[in-house]
Amino acid sequence: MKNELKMPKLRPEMESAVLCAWLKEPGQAFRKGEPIYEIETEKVVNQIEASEDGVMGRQLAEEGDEVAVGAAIAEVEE
Amino acid sequence: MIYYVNDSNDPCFNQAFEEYLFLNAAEDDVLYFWKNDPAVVCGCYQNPFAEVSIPAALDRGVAVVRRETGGGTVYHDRGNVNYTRIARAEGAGADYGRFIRPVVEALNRMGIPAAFTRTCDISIEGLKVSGSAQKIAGGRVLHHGTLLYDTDLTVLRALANGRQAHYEAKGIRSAPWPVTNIREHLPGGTMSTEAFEKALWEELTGGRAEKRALTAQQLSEIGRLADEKYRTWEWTYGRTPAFSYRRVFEWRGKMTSAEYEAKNGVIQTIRLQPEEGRLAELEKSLAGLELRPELLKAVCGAAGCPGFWTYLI
Repeated sequence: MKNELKMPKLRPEMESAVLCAWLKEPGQAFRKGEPIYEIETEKVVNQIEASEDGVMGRQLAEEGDEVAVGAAIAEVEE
Repeated sequence: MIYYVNDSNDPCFNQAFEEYLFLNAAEDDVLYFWKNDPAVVCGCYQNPFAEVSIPAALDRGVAVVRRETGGGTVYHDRGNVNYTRIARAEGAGADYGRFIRPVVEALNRMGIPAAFTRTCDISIEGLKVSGSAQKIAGGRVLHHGTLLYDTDLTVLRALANGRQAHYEAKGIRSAPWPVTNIREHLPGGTMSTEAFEKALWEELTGGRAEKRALTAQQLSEIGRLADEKYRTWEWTYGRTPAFSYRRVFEWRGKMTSAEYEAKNGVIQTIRLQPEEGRLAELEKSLAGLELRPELLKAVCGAAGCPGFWTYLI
């Protein structure tokens, strides 16, 4: 089943963040709890962990892109 | 609270020391102070070419370093006291007050009129004396901050004063703000940077933090991490997000322009105008080159254009 990774809202006032780095390439499998990408907002680099097992699909945001909270950043296959 | 002693002033070693403790320290309440020899320290996802005047830094013998936390470029010297806190993360987002308020309160008890300002700064009368940044990973938070006590502010302004105009790039920009030294705002008399550090330690910990030193084995692992990561061109410059560069300047009496695109710190395509003589030759030599300052200097020198490299970064 295809699913989407969305830019998380880490704090109530957060509106967007910079997608800084993908830690998994398309086609790479990951386990729940594994770090899969990094974002930066308010001078904090935040390593985001997978909430489920999955396989990285097409990446919709490029490294360096400013992405709004809730916007899709990648497709994942479960 | 555990206080890890770090007497090193080597900027690359100190980045490695911090990363090592963040990944390996068993304790959830770590504090330590540290000071660097002159260095400009860029945020994890910044473009150091754009944020730092690299020829000017090299000219002054100032190191250029990339750190693990977010945020902008800062200047360090031995008059700047850094503090690092490592703790369990409470929630996923930034929580600066948790670490900054105790420092502000400690400064206030020392009679220094410091205040917590903007998102993560400490200021005195509107002038910044401290900036901070964090990394959150694996349920832990690394928080660190600068404390300008007796820093050479002329060098700070010359080397790290916001993004230079000839760079066009995505990614994280620095946000310069007027600064001052804490030393100028002491309630009475003056004290050395070391005395300030000691007084702040007493106020922050109540003199009760357990001081610990790392073992020789741990220090050697940190030394290796410094060599294999923080001292490498690949980490400091090679991780730079794609950018384009355009600069117009006078070279040997002629209006000249240099334009290039770079990815991972490597020149992809380059155009030098006017396209004639030595510049035409130089253009060919520069295409595909890694933006290593010493390499640019050598290639420009060999092409009969010594000094031209300072217009390329």
